[in-house]
Amino acid sequence: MLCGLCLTIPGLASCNDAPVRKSEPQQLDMRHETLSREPLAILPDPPALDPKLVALGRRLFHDKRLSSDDTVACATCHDLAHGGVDGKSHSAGIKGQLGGVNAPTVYNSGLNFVQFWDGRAKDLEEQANGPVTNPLEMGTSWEKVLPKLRADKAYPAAFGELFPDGLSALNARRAIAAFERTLITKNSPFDRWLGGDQNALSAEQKAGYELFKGIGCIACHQGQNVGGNMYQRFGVFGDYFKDRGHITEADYGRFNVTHSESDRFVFRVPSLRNVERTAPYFHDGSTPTLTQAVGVMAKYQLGRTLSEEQVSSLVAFLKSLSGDVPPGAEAT
Amino acid sequence: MSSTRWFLLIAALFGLALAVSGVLYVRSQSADYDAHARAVEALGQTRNQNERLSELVLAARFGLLNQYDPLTGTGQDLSLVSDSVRERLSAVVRSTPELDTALSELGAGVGEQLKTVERFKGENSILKNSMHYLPTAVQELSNKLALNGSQDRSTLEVQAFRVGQAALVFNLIGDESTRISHDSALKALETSRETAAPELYPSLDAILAHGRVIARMQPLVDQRVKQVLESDLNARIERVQTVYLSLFAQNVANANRFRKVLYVWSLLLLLGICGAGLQLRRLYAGLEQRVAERTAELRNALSALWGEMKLARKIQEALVPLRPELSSCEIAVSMRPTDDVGGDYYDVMRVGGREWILIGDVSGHGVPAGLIMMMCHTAVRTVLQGEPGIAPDRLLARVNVVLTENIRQLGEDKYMTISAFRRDADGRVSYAGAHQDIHIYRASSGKIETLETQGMWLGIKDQIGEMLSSSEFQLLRGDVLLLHTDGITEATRDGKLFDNAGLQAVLSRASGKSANQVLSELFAALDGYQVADDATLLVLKELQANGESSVARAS
Repeated sequence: MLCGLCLTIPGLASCNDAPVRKSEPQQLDMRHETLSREPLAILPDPPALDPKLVALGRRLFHDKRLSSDDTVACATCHDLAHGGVDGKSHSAGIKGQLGGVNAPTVYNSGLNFVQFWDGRAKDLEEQANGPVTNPLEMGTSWEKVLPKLRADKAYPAAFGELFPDGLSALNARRAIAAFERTLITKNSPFDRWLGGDQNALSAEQKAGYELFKGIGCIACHQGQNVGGNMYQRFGVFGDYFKDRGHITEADYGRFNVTHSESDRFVFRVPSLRNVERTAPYFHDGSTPTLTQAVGVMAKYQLGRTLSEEQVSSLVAFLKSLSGDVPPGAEAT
Repeated sequence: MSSTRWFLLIAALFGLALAVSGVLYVRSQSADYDAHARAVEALGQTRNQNERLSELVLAARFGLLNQYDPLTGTGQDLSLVSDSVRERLSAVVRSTPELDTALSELGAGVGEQLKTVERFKGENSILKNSMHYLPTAVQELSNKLALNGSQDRSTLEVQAFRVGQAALVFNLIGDESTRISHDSALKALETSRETAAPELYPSLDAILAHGRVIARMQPLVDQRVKQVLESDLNARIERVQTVYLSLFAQNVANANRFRKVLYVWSLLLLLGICGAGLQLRRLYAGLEQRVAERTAELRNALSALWGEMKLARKIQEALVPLRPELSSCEIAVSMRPTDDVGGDYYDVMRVGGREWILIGDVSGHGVPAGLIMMMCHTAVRTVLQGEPGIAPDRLLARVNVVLTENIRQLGEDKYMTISAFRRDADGRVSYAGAHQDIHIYRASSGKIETLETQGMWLGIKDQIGEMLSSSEFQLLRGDVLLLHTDGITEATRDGKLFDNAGLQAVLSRASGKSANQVLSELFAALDGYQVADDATLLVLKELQANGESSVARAS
């Protein structure tokens, strides 16, 4: 798309020439982004990472020894065969304890600008700390996990090969994060359509996309990840939490991080990539179907009521955001 | 000062000079221009990213940016690049409280800017959503009004459109008059809603809700944009840069100062090295002269010593008779010391009507051996002067007393083998003392008689009289007596000793030969032999006819 743009705008034909001064491509980028028609973009390729690092991260991601009683792995709640989630409103950690929020999908999570619903982790490395030490999830500490990993001869060898300081908590998180960054679901019908394949979307889906843009969903769910790049208050038109009842601390969202009143009920806007596979919806996992979720959003975020037909075409469009499961995430 | 101390001093000074040069060099390099370039670049990038962030916020506010990825990415870049500033600056200059404060303020400024941008994104989305939806909502109301054919259609429609128009203008301009206009349009519609048909409520409420959102959000969003654009982040970057550049200028000034000192130091060092070189040269010249002097001294001492040695040898040679003579016999003798002064001894003398022959060998050779030989010579002569007819064993016992005492006083660990022979007028020879074997060529038989000597060496014990005894043998006309020291018999050729056999071989051909001829032949036979010790040969040929032949017998 960039190249096509370059050809149509005089003076931009050399925008891909390297090397150029840092400030130039930035300005060109901006012009590209500002002039680009579509507010959504095709998912990028996964980053080129050391395959050994990714393999190590994949192994750790599936390793239940990361929990105190060896019953819960990352993959337990972020099931790669089921959209990177467990399908439950609240995930069960060790001893069947329920977590405070719905588990977000791990797919395309590397493209989110911050991690967790409340954005308390700035990246995946930091994120990987959370579940391990959360008493409701894996309920342990790296000090207790590392000896278990060290006892398995394969780990010290693999870490030793990749890191000068060998097996450590930070390196384990780096490996897990590296694996997660490869979990990009390319080739969704919508991305194929963006890429020029007019037949990739049905008429209903195309109508749904127009509606998605027309009624304002796009105000928050935009960019390559269709969300995941900003915070937004849950309940712009109407009080979602009052209507739902039984407010928990987790409902305060970003407030729990910043303690700023203006951040109460503010959450990271979730990505809508693969959204049909990640039910139930919202941070509280309170909404079991996509149709219902669209209704909740229309009511509380857009301040409008949608017809069944509109909801149906929106859902059809949302389903076109489901991409291929990447090779490293297939069942072992 | 000794030359070793000079060398150590110079080496120490050289090491010290190197260390000082090293310190000066490191200090003169304290302004790292590459690192400085990276530090300035980081500051420049921070400024660039902040400007880009401002541009993108503006673009997003006015609908030129339809997604936040570039804005989010730029925010992350700004965060990264500003994080790197501290590290890059500290690679160039030492941190000061002023720089620390400026950097902390920069970090806080970046944090504040990013927080504002995040708020902007959320609020701008809501505003944008309502701005997008408002015309649709007005259109929906209009459609409904057309359907139900309401009487107040025109009023409601006009008021709804006014809300839409006022919102558009207010959104773009946002000043007091457009705000009032938007508010009054909303109020007018609110008032009309009171009297409107209930089925129109949802549409009217939607318009009113979005209109109110616009009224609330527009000032907020513009406030955020203003905050981002007017942020003092650039001033904070400027502040860091000013503090940093002044520190760097100090570094450069310091480096230049040290560089100048280094130049002067290098010059001094060069002079020092030249001085040291000259000093070494002088030292070397002095050494050469001293070596020459010392060599000359040694040469002189050596020649003096040689002179003394020659003198000692001369004395020794003067002591022993070169061409001794006794009655009725021929005597040929030769003494060849290995060193200048030898340890071999012989004497031939006539005293008080008695004729004496002595032969001996002091252990070792050189000056000490020669000295003892001379003592022995004096002692023998002294005793014989007083008592010419003394028995040979008693002569040796008395000489031993003197010799033992003198050797002790010399502190030398020496002894002496010696045989003394007294030749009487009738040809009888009395002899005593342990030395080498005695060989006698008997002219009558043409055979060789060999007599072993017995007794005790001199210089070991004070009293040896009881260990000594005298024996006798008779020499007849033509008989040849051969005496020698061990230097002769222990001469070697190809590992083989000359030995008694060598002597006897020559002596067996002594018939009709003079004593000198026999001596010459003996030395001729020794030709090719390695003689390691003093070597003495004495040949005596009996010329007078003395009664019947006799054999040695104990006296």
